[in-house]
Amino acid sequence: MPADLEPGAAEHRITLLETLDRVLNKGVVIAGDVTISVADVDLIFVGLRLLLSSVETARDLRTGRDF
Amino acid sequence: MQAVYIYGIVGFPPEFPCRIQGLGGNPVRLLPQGDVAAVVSPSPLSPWPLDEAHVTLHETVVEDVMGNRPILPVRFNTLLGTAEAVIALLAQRAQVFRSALERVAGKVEMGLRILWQPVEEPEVSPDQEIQERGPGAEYLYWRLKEERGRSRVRAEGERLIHALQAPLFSLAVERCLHPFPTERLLLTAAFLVDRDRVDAFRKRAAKVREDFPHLRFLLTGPWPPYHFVNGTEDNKR
Repeated sequence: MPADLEPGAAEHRITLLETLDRVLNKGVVIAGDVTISVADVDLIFVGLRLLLSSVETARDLRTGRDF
Repeated sequence: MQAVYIYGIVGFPPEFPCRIQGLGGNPVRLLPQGDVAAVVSPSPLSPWPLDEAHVTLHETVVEDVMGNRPILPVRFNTLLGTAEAVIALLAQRAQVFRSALERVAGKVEMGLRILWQPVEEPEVSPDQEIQERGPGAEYLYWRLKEERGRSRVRAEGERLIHALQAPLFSLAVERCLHPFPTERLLLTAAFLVDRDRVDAFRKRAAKVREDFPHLRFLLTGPWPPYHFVNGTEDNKR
């Protein structure tokens, strides 16, 4: 923890970083199939993947998706 | 707003006793299927901004629900097109969700990060003989030293981690360790701890901190069991 930050600010930043690490990288992954029908579009977004699209993910996401 | 934002998975019943506001001020509710349910709120079908306010709100919803019952936290910005899609998901993965919920019932996650400063070996120049052999030999000398230095540091780190484990492990039901995640971090760890042992865990961590004054500790929690939802991954990937 940097000594120059007041205790409140440092704690706040740490809490946010810890939260981000968990909600973006951990927890249940729901990323199943994408079903596209003519009438509806079922889309599944996983926030992290949109941010850090791997090649594999980008390829999967590209298959006929409409967003 | 037909699409559904998912915060987590819980067992069902019981129904939702509280009124919680989710992203966009939309009401959080349960979508049950059999004996599991998704914690959801209606949402437009587009990702929410990745910023402090939204991430914090997501986490707050998960923690509020956790106050009442076991929950498997879901990643931020997980959206499904329709409620039917959510029901189908629950039906498909009911078994793994149920097992995971049993595993985390009555428990919380405690997070630990340990910073360290491995002691650098003093630089010792190669001796005359090596220097006489030329730049190639000198280069290899420094490479070998570097490699040995890294091994030494790693061995020291592993010894430290081992010494740290014993006092903390006994108070945790499960743990998830990540040694040497970065150069400055000796260890990142998550522990699954019974709710009523959290205070004891904190005290024990404080004692460990005293025993290792040259290390910097960051203990956080209680968290929802983010690191302990194993088995719930989508097998199709």
